[in-house]
Amino acid sequence: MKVIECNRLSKSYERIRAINDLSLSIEENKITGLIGRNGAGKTTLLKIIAGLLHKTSGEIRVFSEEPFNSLKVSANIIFIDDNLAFPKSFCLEDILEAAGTFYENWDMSLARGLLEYFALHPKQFHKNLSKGMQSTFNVILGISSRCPLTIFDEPTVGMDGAVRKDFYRALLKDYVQNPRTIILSSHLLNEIENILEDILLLNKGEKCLHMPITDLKELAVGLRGKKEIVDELTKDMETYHQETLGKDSCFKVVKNNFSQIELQHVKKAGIEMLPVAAEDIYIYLTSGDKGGIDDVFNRS
Amino acid sequence: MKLNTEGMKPLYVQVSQWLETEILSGNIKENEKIYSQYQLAEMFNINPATAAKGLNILANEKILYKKRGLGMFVETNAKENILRKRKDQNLKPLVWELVMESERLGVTEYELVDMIKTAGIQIREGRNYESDRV
Amino acid sequence: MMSLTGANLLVTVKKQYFFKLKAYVFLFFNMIAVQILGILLSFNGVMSSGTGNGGFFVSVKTFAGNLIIILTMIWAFFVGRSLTTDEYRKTDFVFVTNRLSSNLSAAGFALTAAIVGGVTASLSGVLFRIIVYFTYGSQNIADQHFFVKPQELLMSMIATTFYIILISAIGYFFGTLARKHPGFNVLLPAAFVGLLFLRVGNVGNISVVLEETVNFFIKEGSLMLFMIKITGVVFALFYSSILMSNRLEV
Repeated sequence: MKVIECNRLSKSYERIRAINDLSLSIEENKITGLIGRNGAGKTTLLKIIAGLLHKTSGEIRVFSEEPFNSLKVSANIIFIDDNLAFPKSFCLEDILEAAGTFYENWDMSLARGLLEYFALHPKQFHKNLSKGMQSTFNVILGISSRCPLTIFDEPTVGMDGAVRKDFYRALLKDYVQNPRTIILSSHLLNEIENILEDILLLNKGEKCLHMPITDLKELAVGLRGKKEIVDELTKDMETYHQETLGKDSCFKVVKNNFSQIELQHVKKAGIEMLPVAAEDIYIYLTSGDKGGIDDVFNRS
Repeated sequence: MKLNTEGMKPLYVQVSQWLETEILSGNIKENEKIYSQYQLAEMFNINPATAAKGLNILANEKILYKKRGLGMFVETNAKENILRKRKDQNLKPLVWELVMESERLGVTEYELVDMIKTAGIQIREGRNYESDRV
Repeated sequence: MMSLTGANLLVTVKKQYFFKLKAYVFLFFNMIAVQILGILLSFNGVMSSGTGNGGFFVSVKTFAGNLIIILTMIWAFFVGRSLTTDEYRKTDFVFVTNRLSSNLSAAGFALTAAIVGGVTASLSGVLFRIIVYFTYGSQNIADQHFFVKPQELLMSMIATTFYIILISAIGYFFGTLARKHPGFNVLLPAAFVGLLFLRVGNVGNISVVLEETVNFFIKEGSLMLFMIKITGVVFALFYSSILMSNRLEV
């Protein structure tokens, strides 16, 4: 079953197109990583899905309904970002209890357990917490709500490394026990890639790719060696990135559709094959026509 | 449990190799139930779909078999299959690399075989690898 | 598959209503503070005149009991207005909501606040009289309106409450208007002050309209008709607020 379906979805603010002609669908019970650079349209897309923003044109269906003003969608979604507004008069415990009245699958004992684990006091006020602690509380809210569609928009802002790790692990464990559709947006792919099933890469409001994360990691391969040889070997291949090394060597990242035989050719020719991290592929794919930061310095 | 996230080997391949090692070492016996994708996900901190991919590799290679609704079990001759596969998939490319490198270095076949023999003796005697630099 | 939760508008509104009661209970404490302030200011705002005649001195003090009600009205306007601000509205969107349920529960809260405000304001008036009674003694009170019959008290309580409901609905409407068109934040107070001056100068037709509007409620002789009129207007104000905000983004 498809939880989210977009068809030629667009969203403009004043003059800027935040989402441009986006078509995609997200299957149920998958953890999808929504990756993109700042301003790629991640938050806008997630807010449209959560019914917080209008679309400008196109179609969007969440649980087969138009999300804007849909109570059914709202009852089955939780949207977590670092901008949640809680009543000033509520301490953390009050917020959790309120969440319990609204969300049918709410697990209060999990929420309390996580609160205690992360050293948050139930009687504290949200606004008095540090940025990282606020984020930690927000993700506790997100996990414990057990919503069929759980959305985290850059949830780890301000968290330290240890807390981030614990959060990803807690999310994965709870997901294994209670499978549900989760979207996790981030610009730090390497932190979250292990717990993802799919990756959705946005660039300038458009879909760059949407595939299983395991496929992305095999999408590209890096070749390092003499430039002539590398160029000869990869002449008909899609190139994502290249840079020159020393006098006549180069490093080139190409689409990985080498056959077993070709791989042996490469090896025989003395060319090194290097893995390309998913994070690097994402950077190559979204860097546009600009050659990268080096070009700025090579202009002189 | 830690997986190597930097290397060339995809996570699911690492999972399937870890399972093979468990079978080879006798930790999981023939016709015993193997870990589910969810157990593996928690053990390795990876997505269950990635773990499932690792299990499926082994199912396709007749190392595991599926029982409907019960999960995956170890095939009767899983060990032999794993050994045969490893010879084919691990050893062959290694030998290739070895031969290619010795050709680049101008090492003769005779010398190479001699080096292999020496290494064999050293490993069996539990000695450390030493380079005989003059 | 995790089964989907069904959502019912009324159930959601009820949950949101109780959520708001709990979250915004401090507004009622503000109200109590405002009414105590009203009582204190009422003593202060006493008009006093005296005549002396051959060693015999008469002092007349007039107490203005309406101040409590006026302050409570200002409070009610503020409550209605606050409920439409980002700070209050956004909390709904953390949990289960749509724009309709958010508005309905806010309207429910505004009504509750206004009713509590109206009843307590009336009772504060009584409290004020009791204090005056014990301070100055019964034989020194000259106004025949000072002692109210329970029936009259009830009537004035209902009328006060309806006025306060109207004011909070106006506050809610203004707030929604200002959310949709931030310009109204400046425009509305300016227009209000402007109208006051026009009224004093009695120039132009606007003052007539304003006067007619005010008379529409004040000059109503029948309590029943008065209640129906207010209910109609309050309904229209909330309804138009809902229509205005139903397409607003969060």
